[in-house]
Amino acid sequence: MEFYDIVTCVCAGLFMGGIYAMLAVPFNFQLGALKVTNFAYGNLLMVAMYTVFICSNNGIPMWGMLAVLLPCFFLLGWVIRRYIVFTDDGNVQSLLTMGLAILIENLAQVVWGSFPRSLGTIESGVILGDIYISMTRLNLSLLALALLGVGYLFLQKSWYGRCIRALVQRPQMASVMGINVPRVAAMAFAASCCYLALTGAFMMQLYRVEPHTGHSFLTMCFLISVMGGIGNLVGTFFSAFIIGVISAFLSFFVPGYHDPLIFLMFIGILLFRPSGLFGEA
Amino acid sequence: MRNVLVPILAALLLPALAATAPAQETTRVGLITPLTGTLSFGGNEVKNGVTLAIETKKTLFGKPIELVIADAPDSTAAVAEMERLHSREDLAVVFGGYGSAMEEAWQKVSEREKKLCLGLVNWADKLTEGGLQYFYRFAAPVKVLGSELVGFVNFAAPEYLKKSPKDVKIIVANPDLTGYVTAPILADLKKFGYTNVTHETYPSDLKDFTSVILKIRRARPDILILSQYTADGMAFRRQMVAMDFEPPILLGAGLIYDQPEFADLGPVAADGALAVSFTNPMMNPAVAPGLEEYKEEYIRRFGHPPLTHALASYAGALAYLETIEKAGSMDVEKIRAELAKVNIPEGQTAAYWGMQFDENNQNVLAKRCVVAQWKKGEYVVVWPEEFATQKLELPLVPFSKR
Repeated sequence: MEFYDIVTCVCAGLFMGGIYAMLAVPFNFQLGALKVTNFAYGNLLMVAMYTVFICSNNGIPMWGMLAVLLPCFFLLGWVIRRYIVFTDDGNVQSLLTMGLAILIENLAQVVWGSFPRSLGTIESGVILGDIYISMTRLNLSLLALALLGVGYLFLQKSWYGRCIRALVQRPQMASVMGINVPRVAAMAFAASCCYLALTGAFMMQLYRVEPHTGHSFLTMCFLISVMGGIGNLVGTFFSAFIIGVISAFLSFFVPGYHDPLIFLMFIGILLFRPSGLFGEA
Repeated sequence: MRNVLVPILAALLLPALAATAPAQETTRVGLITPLTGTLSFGGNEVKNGVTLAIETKKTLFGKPIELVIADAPDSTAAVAEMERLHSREDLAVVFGGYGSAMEEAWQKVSEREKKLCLGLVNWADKLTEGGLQYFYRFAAPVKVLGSELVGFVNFAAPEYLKKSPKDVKIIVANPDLTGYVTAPILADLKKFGYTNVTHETYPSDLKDFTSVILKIRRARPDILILSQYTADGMAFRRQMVAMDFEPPILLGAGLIYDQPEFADLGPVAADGALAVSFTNPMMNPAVAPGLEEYKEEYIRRFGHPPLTHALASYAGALAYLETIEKAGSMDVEKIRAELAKVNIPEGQTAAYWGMQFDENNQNVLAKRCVVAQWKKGEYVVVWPEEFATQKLELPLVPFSKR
């Protein structure tokens, strides 16, 4: 492996890591902070990707697409949290969201068929000597960082963000302090679904969509969340980059063993550091 | 009053009486294929092909044909659904299509029940190597694809690369799920003296192909052979374009390269890519009677051009139905006797393939493959000459020079 191969792999891994962070941080927020085990996360991503495809196919510009996507997903997230996954029992939540996942996937099959859809976009890249930099992935990664940064600042600095953090830390005390816990929880879940919708828009620039597209993304979310620590959003953020870079190097050296090694690492973390690499021991 | 009541009552009662009249008798056949799940795309193509075949045939033994469809997204469902079709639905004949792992599961059910599973488009070699008596396969096994692909390489390498087999550098790349496709290709390449061959595999759900393409690009192959499903194939091609990597000959041996979706990449990205298919709806219609009519009807019904799997399923189902008609009834042993002596020559079906089964119930007249090339967003057959509609254009030009 030459120096320029290392540079290319590191860059590719970091860019992919940014996109993984956009995917996994909202998932971990739902799972760890809001205590919602959402097995329909991947399928909701799939719906977002289909929505982007349909908007693009009908000539709707980006701003119009966002005007459709964000309110719809906010409403969808609200409805799911308030009226479908309204229990705090983790086991029941799992069953409900699994059922929801199956329903969404089969509805997508009925509505859109199994024919794969893609935007046909070609990635742009720069070749500097023997080093390849994907500008598309770099831009998406930077955008993901900016959006996650906005989310972080919102949680840290805004009044509503403080309410969400209070709810996450001490839901009973938050209620005593006058915070409408069910409404804030639903709003937070809905906001995380907006991030999911934006991730869908990103993914559609790189991949194509069909009804079962969400499965592999859900697996990656779990992997990164466990690695970062359930509930640890900053840890998840950094884990996404670590996974991205490791994946890039494994794809170069031992592509045939990529998945077994990644999952071996996952098992190792669960065994020796179940709170995650960035979680408290 | 009575004069008004009687007609009113008659008008109300007659439809009810009609509804209780016995439904028209039909001849029932089954179809099992993955309609949901990861292979649903191919499974739905098979369903479309079989549906059109039944509409073309119209009747069996003078009765309309009723198709009972079962969804088999995985091996567990395959077993359960095949049992339902043979036992509860009491179907003597079930068409099986797409998904070799599922086919391996459901064919055993048919064997146990001593009922027929008439395979349409599954290409794993082992499906007809187990000595099964009640499973038949219309399509060619993957080793035929392998030998035809190498046949094309034997033609193209000296013609366009001006190199002998030992000097040609070949890389064969595939996701882990299609290793059984590339295994016979690698064996045949070795047999024909191609000694400079490298094999690269990667996980099927890999999200970023930068490292894989980087490695292949660095090796500067003369021929890159790819066996890819739709998920990885499209993303792989996009990244090849972004990395400005196009080998002199790129040969696809998988779904993505003959799908209309591939054209969505645009002519700069799609043009030049070659694909080997078992049979191809874009081949010269002179070699396949009924092909044009089939294509027109398919587009009218389903809104997109047919793919290889739909065509092979259509032709196979039609040939099977005509053979069953000759058997005179749905008696399994009579149909088997008829299948043992069926001999439809090549060039008599819409897929070109003929039908004649060997002792392993493998159709030995499914032995020709075609190579097609993307040109200006169109997918055209370029080899062999008798199947071609346009000329082959090689070697490929790098993307940056297009």
